Amino acid sequence: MTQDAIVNIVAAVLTLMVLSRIAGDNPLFRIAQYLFVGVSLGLAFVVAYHQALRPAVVALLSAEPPAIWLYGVPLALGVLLLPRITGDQHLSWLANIPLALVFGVGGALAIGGAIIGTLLPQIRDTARTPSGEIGAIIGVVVLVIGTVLTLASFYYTTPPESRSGRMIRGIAMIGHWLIMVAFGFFFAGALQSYLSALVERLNFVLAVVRSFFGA
Amino acid sequence: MSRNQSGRSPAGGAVSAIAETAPPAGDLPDWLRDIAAQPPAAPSAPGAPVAETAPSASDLPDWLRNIAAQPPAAPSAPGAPVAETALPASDLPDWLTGALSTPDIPSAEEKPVAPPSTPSDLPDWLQTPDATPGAAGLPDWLRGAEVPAATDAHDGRSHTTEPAAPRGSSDLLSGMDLPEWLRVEPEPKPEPPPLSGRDLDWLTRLGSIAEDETITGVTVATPKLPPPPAPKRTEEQVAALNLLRRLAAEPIPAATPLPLPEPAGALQRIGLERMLSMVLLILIIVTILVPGLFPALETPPVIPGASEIYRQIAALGANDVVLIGYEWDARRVGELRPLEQAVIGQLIAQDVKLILVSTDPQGTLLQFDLLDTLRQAGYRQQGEGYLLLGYKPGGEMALRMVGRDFQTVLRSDYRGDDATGSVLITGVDTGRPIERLNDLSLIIVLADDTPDVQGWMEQVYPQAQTGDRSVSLVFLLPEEAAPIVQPYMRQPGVTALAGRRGALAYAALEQHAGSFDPVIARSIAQQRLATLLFAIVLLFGLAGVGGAALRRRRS
Repeated sequence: MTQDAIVNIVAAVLTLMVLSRIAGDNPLFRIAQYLFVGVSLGLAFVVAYHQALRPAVVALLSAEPPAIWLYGVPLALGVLLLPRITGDQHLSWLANIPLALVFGVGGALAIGGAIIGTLLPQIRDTARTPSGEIGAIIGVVVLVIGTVLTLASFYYTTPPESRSGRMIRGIAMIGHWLIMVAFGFFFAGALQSYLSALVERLNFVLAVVRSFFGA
Repeated sequence: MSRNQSGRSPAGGAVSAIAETAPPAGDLPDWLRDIAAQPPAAPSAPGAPVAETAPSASDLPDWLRNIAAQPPAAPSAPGAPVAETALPASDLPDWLTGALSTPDIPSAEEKPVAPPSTPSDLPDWLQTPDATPGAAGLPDWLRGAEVPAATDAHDGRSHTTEPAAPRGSSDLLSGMDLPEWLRVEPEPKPEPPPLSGRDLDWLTRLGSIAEDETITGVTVATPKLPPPPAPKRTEEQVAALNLLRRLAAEPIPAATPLPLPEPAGALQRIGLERMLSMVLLILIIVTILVPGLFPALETPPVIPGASEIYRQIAALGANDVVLIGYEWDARRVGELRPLEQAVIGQLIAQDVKLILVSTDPQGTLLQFDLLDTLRQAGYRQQGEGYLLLGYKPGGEMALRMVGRDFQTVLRSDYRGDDATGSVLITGVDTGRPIERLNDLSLIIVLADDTPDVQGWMEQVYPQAQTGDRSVSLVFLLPEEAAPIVQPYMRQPGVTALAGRRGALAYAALEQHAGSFDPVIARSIAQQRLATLLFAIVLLFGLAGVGGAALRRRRS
């Protein structure tokens, strides 16, 4: 039996163990689930070790000044995270330094990227100038109206008894149903994904079974 | 000293209170401070004279030591307020000699010895020479006080045979220079009010003398507050209290056995959802096992973005370099593997140079799967035909580096080697060195989730669109992520291909007309049949749930 055949059999068995969830929660499904989580974490550690930690340490041991600064400072910041491993709180404040750096840089990147890469382009796209085609004009109008109605469904500060409150409530109801339609699209996309995975796995299992019978 | 202080004390207004209240330590003479600091002496026997509690000779001032050594004088007649024995002026302390020499104040033989205070500190009734401690001369708080016995003004010892005052007053004030008329028989000590357990705990920590004094002082000084009004309970609270009392009084009832549930049917034991899932699974297996059931479903799908992507990739050649981001994991292998095979397979077929990078650990592993394909396709080694950069930690930070400083990313490939001097990057073969992101021909990202697309669009896309040469981005996505990232796909130079349908549509574009691959056709039919079967099973399930609800309503 070749190595590929063994790998395929193990993969097929694990696939059947996951599919056994249809019959309810059972130990086979649990084993496959825990195995997947453990293997994923192990793989992540191996990749992080070989691709990030080990090259950094090797470069640091070369004792070249640029490498010391390039890898030594991040390595020192990483070491400062270690006091959080133990329950002793005396030195845990040291971990605040790299965590503050990570959160600060991450927040700055996220905010800057979100404004430049997400907010502005989407606002610009919502308020874009329609071309001369009637279909494009209708599309832009529907897009603007849908955006306003959807945003109105999150407007809660008007008293519902007032006239404007009743009007906003009616608009919000339309926006609410627009959101429901959007969720329907999302669900359809997720369904396509899961059905694709199911078909692919069933094809794989049947191919392995066929291989046993020489088909 | 004590007189003035006691005279100003508002507590009680009685002489007994004056005698029982201990003066502060700062107001006592040194020899009295030591006594106050000493542990309490054994209680004197009833009727013992006050003289027995006098301080020792070493604690007495010099002018008192001689007197203390002498036997006590005969008790003076009751009601005689003036001390009978007078000391020479040299034996008296300064404040007493001053008092004797003061003509406005009665002499020590006739009047009580004044404390070492100036006349201005004395009350009016003492500053008057003919003032007597009678009812008219006394302040209000001293009126009515009875002077039972004379006291030697010099040594402060009582010469009466009356029982000693309670220890709280006699021990403390026996050695003090109180005037005779102030050494009155203390009134019977009032019974202290009953103390609570908390007060007793507090008192047991104190010494005996200080304890008695403190208790007396606190008892006298503390105003008696009226008891707090009883809380008014609402009817609900009263009802709840009654219920609690009744429940506490009643015995615990014996447990009654629950009625046995009716035996569930087979459908109820399995469950409708589980049964529908099994039906769907069986139908899909049958569809896979029996190909060609519905030939009408085997027509290739038409995806608008597929043709544009196909056109972009078809325009690339061996001198072009494409950056491929692997941001997906094994969970999406059912969708992204066909996309990878379709799109990257075309790149490989056209011998396009590839640079592979990933910020996802699992995506890094999947990159290595591609190496076998590249070698089988005849690609040259690392750094010439392709460049595997491997895993770049940092998430968005790494992506930002890809966008802003591509040379830094190239300084370390998956083995840690510097790739900036490689044949691929220097452009030896292509004739176009790769110095920045805009030198690339195309960027393809295999993303399995929305944040991956968001990261590339926010950190890399703005840089790819700037400069003299913009670079297009192509996203290969699962169907689940496609609707969410739709707003990004409206940006110029951004296209996407999603799911197994997209892969099949792209693969169909590669096929020549009339030679459509039967494997792809069968996959398309399976995908469509699975969706159709799901819709049918869902409708049957809705009908079953509705029927069950109707039956429950009728019953």
